[in-house]
Parts: sequence; C-alpha cells; structure tokens
Amino acid sequence: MSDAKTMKLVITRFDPDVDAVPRTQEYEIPVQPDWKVLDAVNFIKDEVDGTLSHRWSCRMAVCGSCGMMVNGEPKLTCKVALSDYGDELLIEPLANFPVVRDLVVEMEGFMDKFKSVKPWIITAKEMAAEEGTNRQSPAELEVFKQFSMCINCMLCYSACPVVANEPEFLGPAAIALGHRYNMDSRDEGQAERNEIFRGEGTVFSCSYANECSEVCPKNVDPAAAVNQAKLNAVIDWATGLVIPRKGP
Amino acid sequence: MVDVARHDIVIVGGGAAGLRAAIAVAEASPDLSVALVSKVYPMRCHTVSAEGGAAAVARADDSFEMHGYDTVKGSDFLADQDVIRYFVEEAPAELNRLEHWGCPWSRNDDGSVATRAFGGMTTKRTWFATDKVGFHMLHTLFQHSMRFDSVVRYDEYFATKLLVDGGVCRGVAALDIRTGEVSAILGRAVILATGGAGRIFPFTTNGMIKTGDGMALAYRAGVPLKDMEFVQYHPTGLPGTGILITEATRGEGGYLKNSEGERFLVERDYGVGTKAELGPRDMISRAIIQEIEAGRAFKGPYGEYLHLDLTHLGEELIDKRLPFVRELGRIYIGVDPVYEPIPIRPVVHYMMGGVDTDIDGATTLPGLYAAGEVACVSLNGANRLGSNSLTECLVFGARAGLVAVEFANGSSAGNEDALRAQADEERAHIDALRGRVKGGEKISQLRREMTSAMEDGCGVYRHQDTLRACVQSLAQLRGRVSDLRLEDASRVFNTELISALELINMIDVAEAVAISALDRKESRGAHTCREYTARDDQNYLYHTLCSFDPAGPRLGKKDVTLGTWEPEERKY
Amino acid sequence: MRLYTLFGATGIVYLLVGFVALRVVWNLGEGPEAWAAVLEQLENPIYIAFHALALVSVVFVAVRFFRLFPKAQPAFIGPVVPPPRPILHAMLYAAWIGITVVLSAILAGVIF
Repeated sequence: MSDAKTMKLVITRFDPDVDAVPRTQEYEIPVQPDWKVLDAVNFIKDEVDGTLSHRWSCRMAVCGSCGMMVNGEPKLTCKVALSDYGDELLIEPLANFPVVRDLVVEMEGFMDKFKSVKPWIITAKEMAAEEGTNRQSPAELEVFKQFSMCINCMLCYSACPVVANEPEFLGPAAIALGHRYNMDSRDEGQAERNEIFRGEGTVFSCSYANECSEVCPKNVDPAAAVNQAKLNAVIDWATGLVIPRKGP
Repeated sequence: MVDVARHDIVIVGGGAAGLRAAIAVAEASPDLSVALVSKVYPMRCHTVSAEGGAAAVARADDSFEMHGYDTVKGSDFLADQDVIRYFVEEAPAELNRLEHWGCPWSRNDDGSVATRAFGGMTTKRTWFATDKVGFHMLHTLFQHSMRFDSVVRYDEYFATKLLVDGGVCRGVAALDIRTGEVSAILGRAVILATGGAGRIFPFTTNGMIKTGDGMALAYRAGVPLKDMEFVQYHPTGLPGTGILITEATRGEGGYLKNSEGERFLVERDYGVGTKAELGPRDMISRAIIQEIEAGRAFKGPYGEYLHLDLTHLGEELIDKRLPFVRELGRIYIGVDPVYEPIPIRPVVHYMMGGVDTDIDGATTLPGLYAAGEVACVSLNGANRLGSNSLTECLVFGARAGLVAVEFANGSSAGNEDALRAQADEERAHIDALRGRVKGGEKISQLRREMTSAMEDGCGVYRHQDTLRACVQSLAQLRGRVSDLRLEDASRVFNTELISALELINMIDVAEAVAISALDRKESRGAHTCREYTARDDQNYLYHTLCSFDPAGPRLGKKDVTLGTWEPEERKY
Repeated sequence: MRLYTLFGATGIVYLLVGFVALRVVWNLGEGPEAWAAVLEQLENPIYIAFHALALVSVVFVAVRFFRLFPKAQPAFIGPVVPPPRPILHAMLYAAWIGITVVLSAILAGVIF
C-alpha cells in the first residue's frame, strides 16, 4: 500500500534507571491506512527508536499483551485501527498499574489476584482420565462460557474507578474468573470461592460503574459477572445460616 | 557472580506443552520443585492463537487404527510409527483430562463432547471449543497449573543458554527481562517447550514470540535438529497480516474458490480426491499456488489471493461454531464472512521439524527433553494433520515430564560452581550485547533480509538455485549478526536486547531449515521441489539431522520407524 | 465525562429536589397565603427548568438501572431461574410505565 500519510504519536517514556518521572516523546511517522495502533508502535520500535519498550505478540486480539491507553482510553492496540483517530495520538501505559518501563506495566499484582480466586475446578472426587468426560449440556456451558473468554488483557483494571481508588480491589477480570468456575456445572468449589468473595476488597467493593464491560475487547461483560457474584455470595451466606455447612 | 536458583525440573516455555509437562511432574512427584521459565506470561504463549481443535478418537465409528493411518498418510510416511501408535492411544485420555480440568469443550445436545471434521481426518475426531481451542486449552492448563505450589514460575525470563556439566544438561542461564539480570536456574533435568519458529518467515500465522529459541538453544548445545526442511504452509491466512483463518471453516463446510468462482479442489485434480477442501494442508497449499500461477486468483495490495467462502453456512452456524473467524474477518480484513468470502493465501504456520527426540522426548543430550512444536518426536513427518499438534503438546508434554522425573531421580545435581561459571560467561556475553552502539547492523534490517531469503528459498515450491542462494544469504547473515547495533543500554525491560537475541536464534534455525531443504532432493509432504517432483523412498525415506558446527551446519540421517503401515502412494 | 460520574452527579439534583420539597411542605404549614406564594414561585422558568433537569436525571438513572439490573442476575438463583434478559428488560419497562400511569392518575384526581 502506498497512499501513506504521516501521523504524530506522543508516547510516554520512562526508564527507571534514568528518569525520575515519566516524560513524553513525539514521533512523526509515515502510516498505512490499514494499520492498527500496534503497527505504528512497532514501526517506531523497529525503524525509529529501538529504545522504546512495549509488549505484544499475537497481533490478533487473543494473547492480551498489547493493552495501552490510547487517547486516554484503555485499548487493545492490535485491535483498534489507526484510522479511527486523527493526525495525532497519545499513547500511555495502562492506567491504574505501576509502570515498569515506557509502555510496560507491572503485572504481578494482577497475577496474585488472579490466583486468589482459585481459578481451577474443585471437586470432592477427581475423575480418572479413562472414565471419559463429564456430561455438560449446551445450556450448562452457555451459563459460564462468556466469562471464560477473558484474555487477561487488564483493560478493565485501567477503566475501573474502584481499582483507581483502591488498588487492592480484586477487580473485574479476577472476579469474573472466579465466577466462571462457580457457574461451571463441573465445579464444586462455590462455597470456598463465595467465602473469598465475601472478604474485604472483593465483590462488594464494586460500585457497578460498568466501565469494565464498556472497555472489554472480548465482550466478557465482567460487570455482569461481578454483580452476579454479589448475589450468589449473599445467597450462599444466607443459606449457610439456615443449613449449617458440612465438614471443616 | 550470577544468582543461582535450584529446582528439580526446569521447564522452558509456558505454552501447552510446558504447562502440561509441569502439571505431569507436579502430580507425579509433588515433592519435586518445578521451575517454569517463560519469556512471556503463560497466557500470552502462542498456543493461545490455535483455533480449530485437538484430535483424539471419540466416536464409535472411529478407531486408533484410523487415526494412526490418517496421521502416517498425512506425514507422507515420514512419521515414526511407534510414536503415532502411542500418540493416538494416549490422545483421548489427555483430552478427557483437559475436560476434567475445566476446558469448555463445545457439546452435543446429550452433553457429550462435540467433534468436527478436519483436513486429512477420515471422520469427525477434532474436539473443539468454538474456534478458540488453543485459547481455552492454554487458559485451562495455566489456571489448573496454579493449584500446584511446587510449580514456581519465572515469568518474563528469557532462557539464553543450556548449562551442561559432565555431559548432562542441568539448567539454563536466563535473563530476567524486567531487571536485566542473568541467573542460573538449575535442575536435574531440563524440558524445552518453547514452540516453533514461524517468525523466520515474513508471512506467518505465528505471533512475534515464535522465534525458535528452544531449537537454537539445543542446536548450539550440540543436539541435532531433525526434519527442519518440513515447514507447513496453512492454506488459509489473511493477506498482509498472515492471521490464521482456521481449517475448521472448511471442517464446517466452507469452500475454497478461485477468481472464476470455481471450487477448484473439486473441479480440478489436485490429488485430494473426494476430500476436496478437507484434504491435507500441504496439498491444498500447493493447489492454491497453482491456481495463482494459472492466473485464476484475485489481485490485492498484498499479492494474489483466493476466496474462502462461508456465505452458504449461514449466520447461525458461523456465530455458534466460528465466532472468532467472524471477528477476525471483520477487524483484520474488513470482511464479514456471513455475507462475503474471505480473502486468503497460504501462510507459514508450523514446523514439523525440531529438536531431535525419541518417543520419550529425550534428546541426545542426557537430561535434556523437548516436547511440543520445538521438538521433533516424529509424529508429523513431512506434513502435520490439522488438530494433531494441540494434542501432541499434551501427550508428549506429559510424557516428557514423567520421563524427566525418572531421570532426575537417578541424577545428581551436578557441579554448581561449574554451572554458575557458565552462566557468568553468558552474563558477560549479554552485557556486551546490551547497548552495543559500536555495531553496524540494524536488527530490523537483518530480520527483513533473513525472512525474505527464507520466503524466496523455502516457500511452498522450492527450486535448487533459489535454495542455494538462500543458504548463502543465511551464512552471510550469520556473520553479520555478530555486528549488531543496539541503542538501548537500559537494563530494565530492554526489548531491543531480546529482539537481538531472538534474531540470533532465528538465523541459526533458518539456516538449519534451508540446508536441510537443499539436501532433500525429492518431494515429500510439505517439502516440494520443482526439480524433483516425486517422492523417493529408495533414497530419502529417512529423517534429516542438522547439527551445529562453528564452520557451518553438518547434516546426518536417522532411520524412520516403520512397522505398522507400509509406505504407499499418497492419494486421497 | 464518564457515565458513572454523571450518575454520581445526579445526586446533587436529588439533594436540591429535597430542599425544594421541604420548602413546599413548610409553606403548606404556614397557611393559605404562603402556599399560594410558593405555588407562584414554582411557575418561575428557573424552577421549571430545574424540575425538567430533575426529570431527566430520574429517567437517566432509571434507564441505566434497567440496563444493568438484568445482567446482574445469575443464570440461576438457588433453584430459581430468572427470566431471560429481554423479558426481564420488558418487565422492568412495563412496571415503570404502569406505575407512572397510576401515579399520574392519582395526581390528576382521576382515581382515589
């Protein structure tokens, strides 16, 4: 494609070895009409400035690496077209995360939250591989399928006003993941996870601003998951009052 | 001096094979400590991009014999038949396990797991979770792996060297991308599960991270790479980006059409017989190239292309079974497959070759194992059947894990000082490369030259003269890559340094591919020579081995294990 | 401005509506002249504009609630399966319209 035009990208730069605070750097580059925002950032990295750091891999909106703030909105940069924007673009690291370098954010806190919801099938008795598969009807699958589509791109954490105010909030993706297992007909871990969900800084910290679902690039609807989880956690607590739980 | 971390089993790579190996070790020996070293967080690994499905016998009208025969025929009889037998027998249990661990497999109305048709498979044996199978499998494996405290993850650690002491592999030197520090991660056995090297080509379905790192690590440690000439072109990639449009589109009934609107696989003889669009990938890719050469293609800004037509399938089926394809079509090429055909062209997808291993995943270097795309356990021979690779990651990931445990139990920890000294050396090497402003060669320029040499020399059809030119260019690039210029001197998340190390790995792997291809003067599976159009079992029914030598790659041979199915003409 | 900030900001409108209501009730207790005076004041365009804003705010909050409430229902609540979302949506709007009609009728003196 040859009908190139030029565009100005203003990108946040931060190298903790050198910079006390983040700064911005402007790049004037030729762009192609069919480029995604990521293509422009990659062009800068490859051809203009090798010192720019960012994460990316699959370039097909499924690995979840390339989330950035584009003109102040959290976006999966391989999914949004450059042509959706004017001649100038502001690219920053995802909001509400500590910055490691340039456009790279710290993910460890997210990974801890992710693990804390016990995102695996919990059953009293595990089936042997030779016993075949569980039966699960298409309707039972439908109940949790949407919440299993999360690619962990963390855009929802950047959009969430609660995360902005309380960084320790468990957050949309992690709660959606826990809820996904709670709603899976093969899982028996609801009591354990509801216990987690009744803890401080989890589902009830959510103010249902719905921003997570607005920015989600995979239509997971984490806000739905979080608020369904609230109701389930309450019902679980109320039933626990009437029918005492078995075992430890 | 570098820091030393001690574990029992070190796994490099966090995709399906690496995670499956880690889980196998954790389940079998909870007291063994597993290091899972991955240059990206596991959910970013390229398994995530696999779309169509995973094969295993599931239906009453299917059998291990049929799955095995399909696989060996697909491989153009270069696969090892003992490996195939083990694979098809283990496959159902592995996919059952995934089901038990929460994988959201698509279901039949009775609640059993649904299967779909796939290229080269005689019956419906491909398990699927809509058209995001790799994504769901990877996330299921990753989430399941989190329950094992014995699995210690080293996320965003880039392994740069195998540490060998007393002839036994006992760990890796790895660069912590975040801090820039090199450390020695030691174990009593090492499993490579780093995936393939599609990025040695300019036009590939593979993500940016698929740079053949594990192949290069093993190769430089003296382990041969096997069958590297066999590079799979997937028939249906989006022009320009190379984004994969799954074979499941054809499994669900999609048509391939030329510019005359003709289903050329039906109307013309391309050897796929009644299988038509469900022929094996190598044959369909060749058919598409021939259609293009015959002038029956569309012209576009990214070269000529054909059509993948799903419009007759209807919106309901597409939304139910191929929603990701619809999303990809709309976003990445501006085509809604419900209403318009998708432009496609053959695109580099998978390396049949890899680190030479036996059926256990064991390499020729004691203590070193490999599984998944990085390995060549010889399941796929000269051409892999679609949906065998995800299952391969599970079957041989698990087996490598268990065999590594056995090895580790009978092996000592090695001489820590000697291993640390090697990692120290590696650190010095990396420190010298970081911010090497005195260099004269630009990373992106060399990468471009490498990929273009590979495209010219190692395409769907190969010519002796272009192959020879490719080998020469790569030998020259191998020299030039020692004079890279790097601008970024920072130790923190220096992705330029990673790109440089990846490029060095890719050039080694690319050279092995080209040299192996030049040596095989026949046409078999994905390796098609213009000058030698027939398969030649008399002279070439063997695995190519390519070994590292500072003077240039050395070639060798390894026997193909036959015994169950006699090689026959490959006609569908 | 983001939607949730706007949602929060409507609280200010309700606070002011509360003050107006208090003033109206207070004047009612002060006798017929005070009541007539306050009724006349309420016809001032500023008051009318304010009440129009209050109506818009209430409608915004209601519509937002109707949009968010159905998807907050889990697929099953204990043994109970909530109706599908489109039906839940329709039920909410029907109830809203019904209540509005009844209240309007009461205010207009048609019933009771």
